[in-house]
Amino acid sequence: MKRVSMVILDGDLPVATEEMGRYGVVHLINIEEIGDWATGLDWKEADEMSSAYDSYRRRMQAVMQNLAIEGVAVREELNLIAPKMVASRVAERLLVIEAKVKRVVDREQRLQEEARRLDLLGEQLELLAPLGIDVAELRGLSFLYFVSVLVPTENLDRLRGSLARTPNVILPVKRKDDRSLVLAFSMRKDAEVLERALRSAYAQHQDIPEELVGTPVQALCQIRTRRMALARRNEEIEKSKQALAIEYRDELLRMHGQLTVNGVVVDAWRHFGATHETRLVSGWLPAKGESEFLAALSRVVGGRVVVHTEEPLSPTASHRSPALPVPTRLDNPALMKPFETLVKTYGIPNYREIDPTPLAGLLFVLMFGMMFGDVGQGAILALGGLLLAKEAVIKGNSALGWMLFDCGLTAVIFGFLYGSVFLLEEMIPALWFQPIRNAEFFISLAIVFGVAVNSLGLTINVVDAVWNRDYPRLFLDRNGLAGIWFYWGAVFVATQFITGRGVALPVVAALLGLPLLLIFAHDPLTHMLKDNGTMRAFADPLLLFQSGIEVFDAAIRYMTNTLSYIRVAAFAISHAGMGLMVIAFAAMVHQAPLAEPVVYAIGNVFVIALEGLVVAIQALRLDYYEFFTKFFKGDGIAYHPFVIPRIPGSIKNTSGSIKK
Amino acid sequence: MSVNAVRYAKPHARVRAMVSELLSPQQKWGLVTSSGVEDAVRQLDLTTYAAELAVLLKGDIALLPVEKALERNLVNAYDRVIRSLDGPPRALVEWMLRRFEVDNLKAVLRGVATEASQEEVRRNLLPLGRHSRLPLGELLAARSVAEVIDSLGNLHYARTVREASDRYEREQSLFPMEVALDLDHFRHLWSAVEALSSSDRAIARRVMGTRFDVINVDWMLRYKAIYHLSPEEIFNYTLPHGHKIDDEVIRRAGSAPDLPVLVADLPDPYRQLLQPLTKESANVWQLEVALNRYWWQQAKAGLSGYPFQIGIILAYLFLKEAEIHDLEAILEGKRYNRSPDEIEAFVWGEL
Repeated sequence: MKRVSMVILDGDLPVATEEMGRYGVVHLINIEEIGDWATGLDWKEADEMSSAYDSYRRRMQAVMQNLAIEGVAVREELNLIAPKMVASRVAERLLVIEAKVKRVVDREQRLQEEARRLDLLGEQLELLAPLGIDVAELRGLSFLYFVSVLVPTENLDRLRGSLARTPNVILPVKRKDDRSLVLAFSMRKDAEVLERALRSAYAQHQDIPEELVGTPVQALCQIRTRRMALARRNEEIEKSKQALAIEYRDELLRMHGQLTVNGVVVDAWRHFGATHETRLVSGWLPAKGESEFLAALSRVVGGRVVVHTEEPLSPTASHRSPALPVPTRLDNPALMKPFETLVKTYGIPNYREIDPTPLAGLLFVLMFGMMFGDVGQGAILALGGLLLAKEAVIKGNSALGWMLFDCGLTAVIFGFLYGSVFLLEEMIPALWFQPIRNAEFFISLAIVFGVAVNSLGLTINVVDAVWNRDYPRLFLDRNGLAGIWFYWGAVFVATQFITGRGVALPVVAALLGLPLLLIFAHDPLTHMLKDNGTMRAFADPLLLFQSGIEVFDAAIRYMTNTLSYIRVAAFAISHAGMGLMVIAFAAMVHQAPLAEPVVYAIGNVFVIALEGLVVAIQALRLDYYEFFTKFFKGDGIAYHPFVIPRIPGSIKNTSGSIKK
Repeated sequence: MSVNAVRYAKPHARVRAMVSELLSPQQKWGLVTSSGVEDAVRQLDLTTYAAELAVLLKGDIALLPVEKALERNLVNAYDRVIRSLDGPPRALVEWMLRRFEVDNLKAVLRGVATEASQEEVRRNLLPLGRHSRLPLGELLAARSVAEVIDSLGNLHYARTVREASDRYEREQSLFPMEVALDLDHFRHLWSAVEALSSSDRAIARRVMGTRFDVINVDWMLRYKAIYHLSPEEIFNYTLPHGHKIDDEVIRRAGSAPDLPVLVADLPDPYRQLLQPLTKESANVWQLEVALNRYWWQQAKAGLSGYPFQIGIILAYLFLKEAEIHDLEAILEGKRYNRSPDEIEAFVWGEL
């Protein structure tokens, strides 16, 4: 990546922006972030226009939603790069259309509100129906005060608590969304207290209106009649909305397209700096293709552009203006591309660290195959993956499909090695060994595999530290050389003891004690370097305590990280165990016709679904917690270049700009 | 315990380092006795606030950008803590940070009510960066409370504002709406406390419960002395959770005829803390400062003890918030040429 700064004339802004958006290679940096010298250069009008576009988009969406208009039509002028002109056109037309739509929608809302009110009244009256008294009497009670209200349900307890010293009845009748319909009674002399309590609990009155007369049953009949009249008026409103949708559909869709394209441009402009006549653009550009883009830009603006490019600053270059984070573009071969999702879920590699995608992908697939080794089930997974990858049934899951395909293929390979087909262990001979019959060997193998993967992670960390000239990390970090020294020392000592050969105490001290001492010194030394060489950190009891914890944690973690790989063997053995179980179940029903193959098939489906998921989670866990934690920080930011969305069938027009 | 030691090893190490960055009483006293705002800001530039203040020292120093820089530092501190946590403790700290999002939303609503310009409203917003979920562009462009509700979309604030909008329309006062937002925030915050593991929950209930007590007492004093609210309103407008302040205390406080009686009915330590002040006819703000000083002492004490637990993290964040308050109070005092004694009266932390 290269830092690029470009100064262009205001008049050239539309063509320059279009060229930038067409190439789609510049990851824009906000002008406020580029350094002290750019203070005050922020382009306020672009900010205001962006707010206006947010508002237009929201209003446009509301109008389209109200008229049930969906989709984006292909119309002329969609790629018009003229935000100000588009904004003023949209503002003008939107006002007219909104006013017409609003009239209808307001009527509709009033009807809906009235319908809701009548429904709630109906529910109250149904509750009061057994009383058989005139509803007017309820309003005129001499000694009692009665109201019905809608209260936010979460405030009900508080409402009751606030009335603890006042005789009252709070009767929730029905819950509607987050609110409850409540009938509230108190003595008439306490009416004010009740009202204050209800008001402060954010209650809204839903009293029985005076125009309803007679008994509750009679009042219910009146409500039903009104409800029917409302339904008829609602039908008329629907017709009016349809008419409006037909009249304005094309125009709205065209404006929607223009807002989309120009909204992206305005959002990009918010990153730019501005003087009276120029615009300053700052961003990141992939080194590959840099000259081609800059030449094209220069061509469209007739050479009226000043460009400055530079290499990214080192993160430790300056305390006052910290180096800007460089975006990372993950660039893996097509085969490994799907596994970028695994890495991105954990974090984006920062620009200066190794992208773990290829290794993480390979390990994931390998561990999945080891745990799920079965020729038949693997083939089904691979087939399912292929269908997903080719988007034959479901669209949009191509990456997941390829991952599944790769996992299925390795499961097939390990199936041949284990001699397992659709859970049957005797159908084909094992090319290597059967997990369930060689459990001890497999567990040892898994531990050796764990040692290898851990060592790989540590080695990557060391390479990364050398690459970044991070010497404290290289020598003293628990995942640096001191860590490798301790880890391989521990592996050697453990092997010696297991094989009964023993190790002399000085050797143990040299292999384990010394590296732990170095790890212990890491934090105090780092502080010492920051404090210009003063030894204060070595006298800080808290820091020393933390370093002690760090050492303890490191020692425990290496052991658990290694033993964690036993799960690879355990899940392969459990796969075979589940196979035995399915076969046993199938055998139990062999007398019923077709029952045995049905149970066997269901068992296989169950194992593919459940164990496939569990094994994938375990492989992911080993990738994330055992492998990544050795070297991968994942604190980078993703490369998101500015791209103008392409809407086909457009006519370009690059006139118009906005002034500071 | 051992699980917590592993879980909190990293956040604890980070928070310990951050505690060491808090200003010492001597440093704060240096600011109080500085020759003016510029001198104070230059002193701050030698502390942990240097990174945020760097840009401002180029030209004339205005107070508002300095305050924004301090607030950015607070948000950065929250951010560093949040990044070191996961699971329910992380959710709890994220909810604590949302307090400032609520304040920002209230600032927007005030802007709408007073028809202030976007620039004026923006000046009052706390810079939450990536932690803000509010669609500020749309909110700032909103011209009515209804538009604010529309802009809030699916955020949970929309429902709260909608429920209170009826009262806003009728009373033309934002007070009920702001109270509703506060209550809703603290309700969620308490839910986040309840979602912690049992050992963390016990600690957080005590720490956050004391915080809720202080807020409740503060609010009761204001409701009684400034807003003259009824007992029912006071009850409904206070928090349902706490450590020593329970429903019965709030009911008694609501029924109290005046502040001295209200304070006399409070449980200790609040009664002991505030009674001498009410006897001297102190103002509400003086009582608030006393409460917050008590809270600061509690937070300071919370830094000691068994290290691998949520209490240390909460204590640090409260101390950091108090430090930002104190710095803003000191700078404001300097701006109006107040004497060190006058400034000291507004400071929560030790000087």
